[in-house]
Amino acid sequence: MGRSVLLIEDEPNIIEAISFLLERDGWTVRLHTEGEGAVEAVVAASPDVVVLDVMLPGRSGFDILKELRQGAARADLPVLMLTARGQTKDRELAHSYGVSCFMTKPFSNAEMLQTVRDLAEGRAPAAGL
Amino acid sequence: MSQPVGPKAEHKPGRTTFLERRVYRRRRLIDAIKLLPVLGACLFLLPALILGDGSGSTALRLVYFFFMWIVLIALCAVLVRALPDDPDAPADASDPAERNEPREPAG
Amino acid sequence: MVTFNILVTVALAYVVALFVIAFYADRSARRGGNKWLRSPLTYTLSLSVYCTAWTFYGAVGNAARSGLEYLTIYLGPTLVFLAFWVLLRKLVRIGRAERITSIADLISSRFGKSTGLAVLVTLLAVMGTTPYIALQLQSVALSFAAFAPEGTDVNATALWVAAGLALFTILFGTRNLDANERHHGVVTAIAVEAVVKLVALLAVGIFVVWGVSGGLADTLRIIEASPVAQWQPDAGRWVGMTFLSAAAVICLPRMFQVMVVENEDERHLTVASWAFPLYLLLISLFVLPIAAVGLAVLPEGANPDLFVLSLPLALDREMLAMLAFLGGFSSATSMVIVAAIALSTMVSNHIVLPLWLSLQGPRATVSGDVRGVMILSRRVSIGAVLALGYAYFRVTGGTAALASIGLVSFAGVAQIMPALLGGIYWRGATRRGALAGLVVGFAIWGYTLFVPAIGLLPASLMEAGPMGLSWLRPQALFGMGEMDPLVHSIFWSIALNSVAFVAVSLVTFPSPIERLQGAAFVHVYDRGGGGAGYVGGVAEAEDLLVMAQRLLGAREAQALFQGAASGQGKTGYLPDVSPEFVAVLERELAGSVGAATAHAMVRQIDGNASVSVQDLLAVADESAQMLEYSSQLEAKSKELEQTARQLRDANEKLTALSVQKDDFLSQVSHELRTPMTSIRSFSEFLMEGGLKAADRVRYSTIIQDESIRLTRLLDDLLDLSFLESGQVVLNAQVTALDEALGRAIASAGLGGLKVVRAPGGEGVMVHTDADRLSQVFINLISNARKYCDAAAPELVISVRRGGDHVDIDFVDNGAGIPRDQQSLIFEKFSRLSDHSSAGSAGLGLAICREVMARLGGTITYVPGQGGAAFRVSLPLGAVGQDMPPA
Repeated sequence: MGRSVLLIEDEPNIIEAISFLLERDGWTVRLHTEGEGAVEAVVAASPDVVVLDVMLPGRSGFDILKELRQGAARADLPVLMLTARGQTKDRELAHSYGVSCFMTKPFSNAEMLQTVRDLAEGRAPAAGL
Repeated sequence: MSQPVGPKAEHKPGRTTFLERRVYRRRRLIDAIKLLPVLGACLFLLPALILGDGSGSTALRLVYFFFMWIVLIALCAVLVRALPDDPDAPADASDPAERNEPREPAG
Repeated sequence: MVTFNILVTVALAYVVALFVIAFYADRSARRGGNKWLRSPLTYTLSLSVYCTAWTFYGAVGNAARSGLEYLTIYLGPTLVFLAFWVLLRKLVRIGRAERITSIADLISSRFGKSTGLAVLVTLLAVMGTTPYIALQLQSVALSFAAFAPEGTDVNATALWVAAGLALFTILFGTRNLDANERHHGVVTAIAVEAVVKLVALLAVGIFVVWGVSGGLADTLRIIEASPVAQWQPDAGRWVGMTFLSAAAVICLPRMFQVMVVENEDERHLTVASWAFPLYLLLISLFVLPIAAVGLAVLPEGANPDLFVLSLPLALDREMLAMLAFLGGFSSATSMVIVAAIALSTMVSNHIVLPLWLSLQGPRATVSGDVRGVMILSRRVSIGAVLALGYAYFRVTGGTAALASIGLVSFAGVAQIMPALLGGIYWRGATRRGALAGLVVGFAIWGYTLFVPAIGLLPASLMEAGPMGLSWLRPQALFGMGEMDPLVHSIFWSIALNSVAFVAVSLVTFPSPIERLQGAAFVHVYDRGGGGAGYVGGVAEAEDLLVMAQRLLGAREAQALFQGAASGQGKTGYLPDVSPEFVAVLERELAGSVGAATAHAMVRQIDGNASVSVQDLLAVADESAQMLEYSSQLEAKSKELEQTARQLRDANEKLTALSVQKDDFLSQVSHELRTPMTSIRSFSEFLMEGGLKAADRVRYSTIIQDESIRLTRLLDDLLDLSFLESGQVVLNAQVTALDEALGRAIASAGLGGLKVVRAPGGEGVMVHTDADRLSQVFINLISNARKYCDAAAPELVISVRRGGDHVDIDFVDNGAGIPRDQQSLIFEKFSRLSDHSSAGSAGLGLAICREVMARLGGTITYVPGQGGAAFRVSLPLGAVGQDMPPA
């Protein structure tokens, strides 16, 4: 059974880029495009890695992360957060909520792919910490 | 009918007993104006009450009433013309232009 | 020989002249006026609606029958006007301060804005006035008949007159629903008619004294020799009728209308105080001579009620007769017009509107178009009042019942006097007291005077009393049979009316609103700008604005709200709903719908009237003695409150701005990085190669689109910083606003949005930078396209000129912008939270604001318009400070 990623993102072009990148590498990419219901989507999809954008319609990525970490079911699930805001205080906030990795857009494809692979295999990602 | 003795004057603390001459004149003029209807009532009603039974001359009565009438009118005109503008008059109530300004439909 | 046709032609020409006068007076008043219109002379002349056809023809008839007694009808009002300082000045001051629309409104407003009282007084007024209108119609019909060949149908004449008067009254009496209820056209026409009737009566009098009897001395001799001299004064009737006419001049609806409602300036009263008695004196000067000479010259059996007309006719002075005819015609028409306006205001405000409101359900004030309903109901009421008058004339016309109705009407409306005087001088007067007094007085008047006068009571009852109770005989209550029936009725009705009023007032306890209104009325001279208002709960400013717009018109309401907000130290259209503001609003509304209705509407909006506020008010009422001290404190605390409010507002805004400033950098970062992410990703795919051709094209397209998006964002940022730093160069030229709008609509790209151009503003030329202005328009249109969430999105664009500027409103039919975000939308990147999925960077409105500031105009959000509404306001003359006008 192939490895799967749940992508929570609202920008269509970025979705297309990440999906293309990961699917080419053999991942199954599932998609959720808004803040509402994201936690339920994670529970339902039960992915190996979650890629989570910070600015989502309806609910912020930080909120979603916080709830994921508090929920007992997959509290150890690897979560990769993406942000376009690039502020240090966002990074600190994400870490305080227990993010696995925090990346700032734009990213290189290689970097993204490597990070997802690392997270899925339980290694500390080379980039983004 | 109760008395409307300028409540403004009574309520204001610190009013002196001795008023400025102009203000004093104004108050007495207003007193005179207030007495006009009393004078009018006496002139108009008393003859009818007193001479009610008499057989007086109608022409004479006619002249009497019109004479008293014109005297009262003249008196009233003289008094109100002598009355200076109220220095205490609230600007909001007596300035129609200001109050109505926003009401006027735009031209 | 003056034929009937010539007479009809002259009458018609006269009426046309009145229409023209009224039309021009209305127009010049609307343009900001004409000195003559607002002069004390016009005011005094308009008061002459007191002298109706009943005076013009009837006074001579009265004098022929009862000698000097006719004088009492004019002496009473003279006394009232001499008492102007004590009485009329107060009435007028109250009328202006409380924006009173009618006598019913005054009574209702004073006694706690009671609808019941308003209805009662309205009914009383209708009952008292209808026969009087019938009397006017009859006199016009009879005066026509005096010229007409035998067999002419006077009823038809009366019908035409009634219809013409209805038309005139509707045209000029309901033209604009002006909140202060003033009708310049009507008042001016009435003033002209006053001159005509005075001149006519004086002309006939001079002709009689110097033309017929040969001078003053001879006239007095004729009077002495005439039957009129046999009359001797009866003290009871003399005093009673003087009292009655004095009461009537205050209480008659038409007198209240011209004296209080149409009053332009309180100072006019000081002139009217002597000038109106002078008018009355001149009107009555020749009455007795005409009567005496008429009795001597005209054949036995000639109707003395028509002497003014038949005397010149009999002596072949046809032009004089014609003038007399016009005088009588003027007297009758002016009375009917003013009475119809006064009654229709009452009927419409106190009966029709409350009924309509209660039929519409609880929130009607917000959803319904009350303005239209009001004008319609006024018009229908005018028609109904005149129809009623005509019907009454047809039923009782020509009978003695109609001739004596003048005094009966006077006695009817005089029943309002105790409540009126008590209301303005005695704070202890209560609503129940007023109600009791009115009902008692009304009942006794009906039983002892009105019903007997129209001949409805059987003779047996008149003579023996109901069920044989002789002490209840209509004209001899409690055995006072020797009294004159009129004096008898006045005495009992007014006496028991006053007793009931005072007694019930003493034993009942007024509600807080009554006490508040009582204090406001009795102490009207003490009042500064503050009002006696009251609000039970907290009404939403926006709801109130929506309601006020329906009643006052959008512009006026917005001006009022904006003024109130700036008075509180706030900007925008929504003031805090303070009790003072509600009081002001209620008074403004009262000007169009009457106090009781306005109060009901405001209460409907604020919903839950809470007891605690009433209690508070009661306490405040109790401590009126401490008013002086507390008002100083109040002024101080108001000042503090205002400063605090300003500080609070400023602080909130600063906090919000600082958060926004932080956010601004994040936002710029986000808006730049998002497209860059796609560009970087896809360009890496393209560099790796090995893609399908279709994918390659697709990815290249995405890269191109995102680059364009980036460029546009950078352009916007640069544009904004240019505008903010003031380095922008404007290219001003004279442009047609229409064209600029058309261009903007064409280039905005509408998608599914329907754009509606409201009519108005065609041909407005502005001197401005047309490209920059179009930029603003395009932005607003694309905003509507992107954010309007209606099923069938529609944007209404309307243009209105106002003074030195032009307003362009963009109103869509979507959900609008929530209250808490309205003050932020013009800030950079303040894209609303629930719209964040849309692609815009949210710089559009910030740019619009900067552009408008550079053009010397403004752009504002207008709340309460049903959807999102933006107003672009542009000066007509110059463009911005660095642009001298061309």
